[in-house]
Amino acid sequence: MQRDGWRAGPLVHEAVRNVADWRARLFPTLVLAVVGGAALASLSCLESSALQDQLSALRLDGRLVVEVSSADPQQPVAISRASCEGLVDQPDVDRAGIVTAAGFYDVPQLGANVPVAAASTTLFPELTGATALVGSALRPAGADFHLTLPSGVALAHVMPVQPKGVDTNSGVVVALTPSTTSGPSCRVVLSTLASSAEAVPRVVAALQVVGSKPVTANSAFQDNIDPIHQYLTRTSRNLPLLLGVLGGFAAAVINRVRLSEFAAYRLSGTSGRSLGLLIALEQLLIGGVLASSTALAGAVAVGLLSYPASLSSIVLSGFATAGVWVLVTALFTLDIPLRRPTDLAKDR
Amino acid sequence: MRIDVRGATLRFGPRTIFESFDASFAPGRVTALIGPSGSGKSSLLAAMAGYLRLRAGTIRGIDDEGRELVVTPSMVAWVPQGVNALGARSALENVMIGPLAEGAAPSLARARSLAALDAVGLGPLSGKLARQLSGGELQRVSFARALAADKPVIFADEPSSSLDAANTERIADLLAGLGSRAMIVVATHDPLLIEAAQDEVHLRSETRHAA
Repeated sequence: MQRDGWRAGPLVHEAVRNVADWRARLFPTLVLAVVGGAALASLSCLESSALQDQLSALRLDGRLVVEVSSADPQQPVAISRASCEGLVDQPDVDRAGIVTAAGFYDVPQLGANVPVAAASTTLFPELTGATALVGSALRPAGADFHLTLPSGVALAHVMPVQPKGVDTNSGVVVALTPSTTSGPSCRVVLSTLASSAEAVPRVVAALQVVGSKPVTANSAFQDNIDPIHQYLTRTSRNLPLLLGVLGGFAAAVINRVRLSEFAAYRLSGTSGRSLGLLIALEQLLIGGVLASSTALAGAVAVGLLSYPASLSSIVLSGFATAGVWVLVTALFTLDIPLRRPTDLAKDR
Repeated sequence: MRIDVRGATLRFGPRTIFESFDASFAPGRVTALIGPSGSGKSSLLAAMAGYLRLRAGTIRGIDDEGRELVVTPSMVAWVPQGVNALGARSALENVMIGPLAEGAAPSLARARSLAALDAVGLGPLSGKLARQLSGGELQRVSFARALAADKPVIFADEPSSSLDAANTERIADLLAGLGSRAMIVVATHDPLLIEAAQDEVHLRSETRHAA
């Protein structure tokens, strides 16, 4: 086997010059890696942002909000308040609690016949900081203010828009009194990425119910599309793989037209092993640039432009793309270091 | 180092390239390996460099003290037929590959490469990109690379095959001046290069003649 004396420093320097010099044949692949990495991160951020927008819109339409109540409206059941509020300790449950209507009252600051309801603080966590919550349809968001209720003057806070199924945007909500130990229904808001098919049976099973009728879980939202499933099965999720394959193949084709350069190395005393190492270093350099470009573009989009995307998943996709790129190039370049130098010289 | 070839036979499939071939190549001299196209000149050089296996026969190196050595690719610098260079790199960087592959430090490789470029008359063009050099200049870059590698053996495989008469003459002059630097074997059928060589080995007739 041929041996040579290449030192690590000069060999790395050769790889850098063969890739990063704008006149080098591999330079276009470096540009492709930079542009492709940035495009990958940008697309990932745009798709993630679109998903978040869609989820927010669907959430207001009542997606992942369920109300558990008697299967027969004529024969209500009593659902234990403790078991309903205890659902927040379950995975996939954001908020849960009981809501009971308290009646209609004239409220000087809001108007006449304002519906007032009492609800669990586990369903409206804002009730821990304010005595009453005012629906967003009654008053624009702003500083806390005082509200005159039949029970007295209360510190009020305008709550964010509530999704369908919680239905408190046009009323006032106060905290349930400790004496309320049960209610006819339990409202549950599942977390954004939860699967309702998996979570709802678990939620229903955890409730303590007294009554002659079974309970059912109803949602105002008819779940005929699953945006999460759509997102996870979108065609563009294969983009990192596609970019890696195309980039790696392009680099391999360029390496095929660089046989004359490889022959120059081999015929000057470079062993096949060192040539293989040089080619690997070149491709690792390009792969590293691609991963860095993806990470940098992702950091800018997430950190500076506040796109709602996961930086770690963007970085991971950059590394995956780079890995596929290097692997594909290696597959199509593997024979070059093994060939006779004189054959490389003839095949230029 | 001297190289002795004894009973060398090479076949590609059913085709016999050469058979029972004997020759000796003397150190410190330029030898022209002569033969028509297809006679196996390049293959013999490749076998002598250790790139190719003979079907039969032996190739041995004999050092100055008479000890036998196995000739390996590590001992040989090769000047290829046509041009093999890194087009986007300077002539100097192309030449530096040789000494760097030998393990020389970059500063030493640079010094040796500049000296080798001077030896082939390309000192003033050391900073020029390889792709901007003519075919003849690139061929001389290949010789400089072989010289800078400081190997005991230099094989040149039809170095004038793609050159015009003027450039061939330059290569011939270059060869005539390089004899003492290493054992140089030039596979050729170019009369100018044959004339520049000190020894001749005829592959087809298997006879050797002093020049």
